[in-house]
Amino acid sequence: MLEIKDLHVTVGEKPIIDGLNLIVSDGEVAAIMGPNGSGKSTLSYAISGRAGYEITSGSVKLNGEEILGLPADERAAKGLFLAFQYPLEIPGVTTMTFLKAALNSQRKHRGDAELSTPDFIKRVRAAADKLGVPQDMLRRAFNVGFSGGEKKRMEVLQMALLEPTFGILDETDSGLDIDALRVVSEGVNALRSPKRGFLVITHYQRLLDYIVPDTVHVMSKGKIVKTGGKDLALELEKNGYRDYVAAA
Amino acid sequence: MAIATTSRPRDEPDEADPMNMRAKPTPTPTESALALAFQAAQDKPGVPQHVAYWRARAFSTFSDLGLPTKHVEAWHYTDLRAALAKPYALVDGDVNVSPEAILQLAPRLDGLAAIRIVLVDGVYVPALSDSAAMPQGVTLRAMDMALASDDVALLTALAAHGLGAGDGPIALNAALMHGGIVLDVAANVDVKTPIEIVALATETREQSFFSRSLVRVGQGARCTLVETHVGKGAVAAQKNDVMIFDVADAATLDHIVTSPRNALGSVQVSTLLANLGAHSKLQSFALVSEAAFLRRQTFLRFNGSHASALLSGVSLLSGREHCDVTLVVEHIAPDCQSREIFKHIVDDAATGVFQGRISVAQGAQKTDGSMSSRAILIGDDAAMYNKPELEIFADDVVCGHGATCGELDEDQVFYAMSRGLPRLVAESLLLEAFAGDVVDKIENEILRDHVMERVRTRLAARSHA
Ligand SMILES: Nc1ncnc2c1ncn2[C@@H]1O[C@H](COP(=O)(O)OP(=O)(O)OP(=O)(O)O)[C@@H](O)[C@H]1O
Ligand SMILES: [Mg+2]
Repeated sequence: MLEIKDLHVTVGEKPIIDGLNLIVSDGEVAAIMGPNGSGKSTLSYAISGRAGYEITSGSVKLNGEEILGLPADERAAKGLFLAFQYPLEIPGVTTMTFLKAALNSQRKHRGDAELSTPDFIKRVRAAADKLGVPQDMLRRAFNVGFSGGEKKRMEVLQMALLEPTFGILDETDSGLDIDALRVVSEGVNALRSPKRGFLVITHYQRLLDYIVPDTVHVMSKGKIVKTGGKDLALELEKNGYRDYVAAA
Repeated sequence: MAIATTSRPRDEPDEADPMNMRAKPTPTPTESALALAFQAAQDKPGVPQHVAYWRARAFSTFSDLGLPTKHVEAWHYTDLRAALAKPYALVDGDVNVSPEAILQLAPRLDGLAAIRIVLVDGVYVPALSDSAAMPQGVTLRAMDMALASDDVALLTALAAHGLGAGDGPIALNAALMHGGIVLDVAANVDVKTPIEIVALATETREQSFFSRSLVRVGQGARCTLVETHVGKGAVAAQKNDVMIFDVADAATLDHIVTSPRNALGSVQVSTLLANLGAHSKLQSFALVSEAAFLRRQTFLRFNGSHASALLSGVSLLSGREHCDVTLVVEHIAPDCQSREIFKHIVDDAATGVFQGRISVAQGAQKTDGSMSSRAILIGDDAAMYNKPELEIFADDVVCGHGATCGELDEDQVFYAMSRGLPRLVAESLLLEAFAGDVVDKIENEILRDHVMERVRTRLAARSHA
């Protein structure tokens, strides 16, 4: 469960998130939609602990525990996962090595034993197969030369592998072809569980046909300006943001 | 933190003194001690006359030059005279080292099956070496024995056909050298087993040593040479070692050298002088880690056409360590290819230096030379001086150089952290990849893995600091 209270975030002195409140319960899928530049990615980075996103006030609790102030890796170990809007490339590190370092770091942090290489490989293969990620991609340098869509699949593969308690998907649908959108959505849906919440940031109603949200929030100028059910996305698709942008 | 320079103004004193008429400075205590040590060595019985003469000439060259200060252009970033302020006695005597002690400091690499030559404080110890196992066509002699023979051509080879002439520390090494080996690979012999020189510093007390070795790879021969320098890093030492390669026509030499663990306060000058024949191939990789204060200088000359050389290295610096990698690559024959690829990871308040010069003589047409030096500074007070240079007198050449100096990509660090990697682990992973790119150039898989493992261990030590 994610609880954000009166969050204010500035980036380079510029206030971007301006008193945002949001609660996403266990098992809930909440969608956030909003115009370009309204602060959706800023919100996801602030929650994950990226440097340069200064929290001037407010609180973010994950499963009842305040996470602001924790380094990003500890937030991850506590079960937070962000699928980046623009995933990074890590030259010189194979995908396998990177994934193994991630999984074992989290296990170590939680006091679990590290996975043996064969066990690890078994898990990655299973996750990769489900998401249609070819095995040879796992041997390549992480994300290097991957297409936009392949990178997005890799984000969801990591989420499947790391089994977070809360996942934030920042425009995971952008760059995906029609078939990939379905495969990736199925991957996300397979992770839905009564114990896991999701925040799905998207511009397109189409994604929400696959990952059906419980709630839809409209964000404008760093605030949630409207909250509704899945029908709100359909309305936005038809009318755009003009009714809400003015309200902010 | 980051200081990166690619050029610097000429030294003022030189400008003020264009005729180089400056009076010779008074010798430092170390220089005086070296003069006394030299006299004592010359007076020892049993030194053949031509060797004594050769050494005397070398010492006179050194006396004229003195220990280099930052006013000597080639030593601008490494003030050796200041570093060697305190004179250390020359190494002497026999220290008994057990085979177990060697194995502990330099374990044999699984699967490498190398033939070992063990030098203790520079001196070849047959009893600790695989002396009986030298492959067919490989001749090994202790330097002192070789010098005592009437092999007059040896001195020309030991002078590396003039390479590095004009460098004070190299001349000093010639005057004072003690120990070392002469290794000859006969023509057309393909030495399948790597030969490993394990150079152990006993570190029983503060001392200085000067050793010089010569490796000659005959025409069409092939050989892999590993130089493993080891020490406990217990007591400070002043080391000056010179390795000379004579790679004949169509010969191939693969060389991997790993620096010793030097105690704080140690000062080491390691020199490689390499002459390459036509159609020959040299690959030389150097790992520098925990070396305290080290200057690694390489002088390489292409004497025959169609030869190629790859000089590469990784330096891992932390604390207040100082590592100066200096290269002088001379293309005098046409159609040769040289590649120089170096990476430096500079942590804490350490200082890295890279000076590389590719010089192409008028007749060296079709030279293909490229040099790159890349540094990542991770320490708040870390510094890197990068100075690549090209000096080209031929018109039909392809030469280039690049030097970069930067920090870790914070976006990549955050990405990895967001996946659960603690900062230091994330940084290590990225740094490993940065260094790994050069380590990958080592052809022998076992040696490559060994070097990578050392890099990994060193970087992992950051997270336990
Ligand atoms: N480093 C920065 N310095 C100044 N302004 C920034 C910085 N980073 C982001 N911003 C600004 O913050 C605002 C919010 O950006 P953000 O990326 O969060 O928007 P978004 O809602 O994710 O948009 P999109 O839908 O286009 O992805 C934008 O106006 C952007 O220009
Ligand atoms: Mg965005």
